[in-house]
Amino acid sequence: MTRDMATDVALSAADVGKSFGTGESRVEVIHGLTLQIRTGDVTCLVGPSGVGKTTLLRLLAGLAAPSTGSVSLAGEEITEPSEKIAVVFQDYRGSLMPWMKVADNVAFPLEGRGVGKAERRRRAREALEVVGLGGNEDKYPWQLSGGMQQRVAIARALAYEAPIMLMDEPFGSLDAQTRFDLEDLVLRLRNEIGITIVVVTHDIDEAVYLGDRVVVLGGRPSSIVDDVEVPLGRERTQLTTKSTPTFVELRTRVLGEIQQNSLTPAAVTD
Amino acid sequence: MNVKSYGPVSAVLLQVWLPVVLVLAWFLVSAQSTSVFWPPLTTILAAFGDWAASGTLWSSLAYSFGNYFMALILATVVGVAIGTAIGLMPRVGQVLSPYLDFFRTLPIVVFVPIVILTLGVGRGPKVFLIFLACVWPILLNTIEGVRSIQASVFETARSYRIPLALRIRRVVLPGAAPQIAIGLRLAISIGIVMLVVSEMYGSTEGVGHFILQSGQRFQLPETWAGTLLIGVIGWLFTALYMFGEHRVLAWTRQDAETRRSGRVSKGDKS
Amino acid sequence: MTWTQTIRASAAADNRRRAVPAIALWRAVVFVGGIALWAAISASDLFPAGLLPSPAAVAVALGEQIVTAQYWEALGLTLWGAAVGLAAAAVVGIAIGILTAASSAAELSMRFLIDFGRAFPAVALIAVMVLILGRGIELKATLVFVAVVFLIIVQTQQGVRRIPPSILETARAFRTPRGLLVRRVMLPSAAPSILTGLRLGASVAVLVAISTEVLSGSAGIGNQITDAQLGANPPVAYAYIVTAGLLGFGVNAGLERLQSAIVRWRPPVKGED
Repeated sequence: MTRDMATDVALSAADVGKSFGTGESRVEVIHGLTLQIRTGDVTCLVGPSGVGKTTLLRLLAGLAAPSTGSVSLAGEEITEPSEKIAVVFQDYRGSLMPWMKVADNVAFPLEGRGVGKAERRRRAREALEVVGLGGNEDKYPWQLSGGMQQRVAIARALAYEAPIMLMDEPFGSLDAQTRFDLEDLVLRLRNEIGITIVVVTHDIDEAVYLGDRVVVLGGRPSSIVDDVEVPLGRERTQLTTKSTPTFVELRTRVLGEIQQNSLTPAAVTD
Repeated sequence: MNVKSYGPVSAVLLQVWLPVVLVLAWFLVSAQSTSVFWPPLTTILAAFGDWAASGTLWSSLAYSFGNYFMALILATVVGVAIGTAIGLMPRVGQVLSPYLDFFRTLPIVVFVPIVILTLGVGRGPKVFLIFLACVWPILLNTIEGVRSIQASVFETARSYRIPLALRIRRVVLPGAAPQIAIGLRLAISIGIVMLVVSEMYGSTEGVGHFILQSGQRFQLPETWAGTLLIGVIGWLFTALYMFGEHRVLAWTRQDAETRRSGRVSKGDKS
Repeated sequence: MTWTQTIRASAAADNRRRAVPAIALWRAVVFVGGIALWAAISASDLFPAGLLPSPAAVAVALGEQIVTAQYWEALGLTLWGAAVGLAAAAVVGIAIGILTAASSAAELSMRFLIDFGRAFPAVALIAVMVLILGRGIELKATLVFVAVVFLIIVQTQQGVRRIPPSILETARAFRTPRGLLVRRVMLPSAAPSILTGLRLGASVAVLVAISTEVLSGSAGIGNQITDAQLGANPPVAYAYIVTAGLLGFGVNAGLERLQSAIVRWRPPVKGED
């Protein structure tokens, strides 16, 4: 199946590299990585544990500066967090402010932008409705379950009204059923609102289920090992999609690549 | 270990019986007393009554605690402001830490003779001394509080481009609040000690002065009355503060509790 | 090590290596800058004369004092008063702490007393106590005792409560006799908290001892400061102030080290620091 390739590039990394430390203890995590995120896509980044997926996401978000190369947003280089990018972090407990009510948490970035109180409240309420948390505005984060807290984080990213959303292993600490519900939420966001989404995940099923494209990272220092298009269409369901032959085939392929490029010595093949 | 828990009524009774019994015992035992040093409790209370009736009690209280609160408020403002600044700049904190430690253990009471003998027995020097004593615990605990805020909270604020002023108001200060509250609690009791010392060393007015003067005039009932009054006030302030702190920082306990129980991440409805 | 651990470790090591010489340098700069600022302020007319003598004068005064017997006598007296009070408070405080922590009823009964005692400014008692006890060591030790004992009780209670119930159950299952239970099980488990209490108590003890000396003329560092000031000799007064600071710092640092050494199997507990 072919895809219409004439789409805009929302976010791109050009020959990007990232190292930590200096001198003898210098460690190069990412080397010569070039990646273009297409507008309106859900792009999933997968790879073995510790390969640098989170590092790459932070580079794309402008939270860290690349050691070499550059990251560009719609053609312009970014060196710090942008208004056009909203991030959903892995640890919702470290990301939501426990002293603020849910609605205040969601509206906080808007407060930072100087949006008026009434407008903030309206947008927060809308965002919470979209993620299915309408009515929870006046609760505190600790009163909600993990899945609900992560939804709040997503609502916050939505209220920010940025065209791009980056998610760092957003559902990793949640149980399976919650994860499935939230995965479907992500798809709905893309379908209904048209956000460009990049998801970092270690869960291969999730990557293939969510992604229009799965980018596999591997190696040390890491680079792109494979870039797979996922021709499963835009309407997907947990029950049916995951049992189609295409799904299984893609999944197997990605899994194989990850295992081959795993960083533990035992799994290294020649 | 017997850690039985008691119902609310029994808990109150258990806490109350011993103090009541002791006070009654004090009444009874001291009633027979002919010792100058241990006057009957009734005599002490009578002296207290006279003191109150004559009006000097109230003017003394106003003087002493006017100074006290001025100094405490000043110490809070200065301590939190500088503490926040240092806390947000970890390198500065590292460089200054041995000096801060040194001043932490320096008993401010050593400055009382010099300050009072040089600057006189007026209000100013006393306020200055109380300020000096109170500012350290607040400053140091503010630094600790700011440092204890999770890095992920800061990263979230950065990714959403929250401006500095808003960040300090809505992220840093609330996040550091529990630890700042501990510092404030310490400052409250340290302030009272310094209040007493500075007034006893050189003053023409105030509760401390009253106690000293009565002692010098060998008026034991009055001396005891003043001493007990200060004791009760010290306890009252601390108790009121703890009560207030309990309500304001309710979110910290609930938040910490849910984190501890791990209730959040498992299986609840998302 | 995994990749992630490698990165973090190398970043940390790198920060450390780069930082150590830099930090020491900056600290030296701050020290020199601080002394310079002190000298400038004392030379200026900002404060009345005598409030802040020059660092040079203080250094000279300290040098002169340190070689006198009077200096060490004063230091010794302050420490002695603090130590006696602290020791008494430790014995009584730990005992009461253990006894009350063992039963909720006891703990609740004592709670008001302990809260009141903790909040009570022991120094306020000086007016009465100086009449009853005079100005000697008894006065200092008594006031230190009153100031410190409640703190130790609370810390001990916390320490005992921290003991995992399973340990106590095991000991009881083996029908351990009471004395042995306290000595070999409860005390060691509660030790970190108790030691923190003693350390904090030591700082308070020094503080109260010096306060007593300042207010009552009892012999010691505090008294030296007052005398010097009354004798219009600010540099000497400051020499003793610096001494008091070093004393407080030394006591705390020394006890911290001692605490770490004794309880090597657990990091020091923060307490109400």
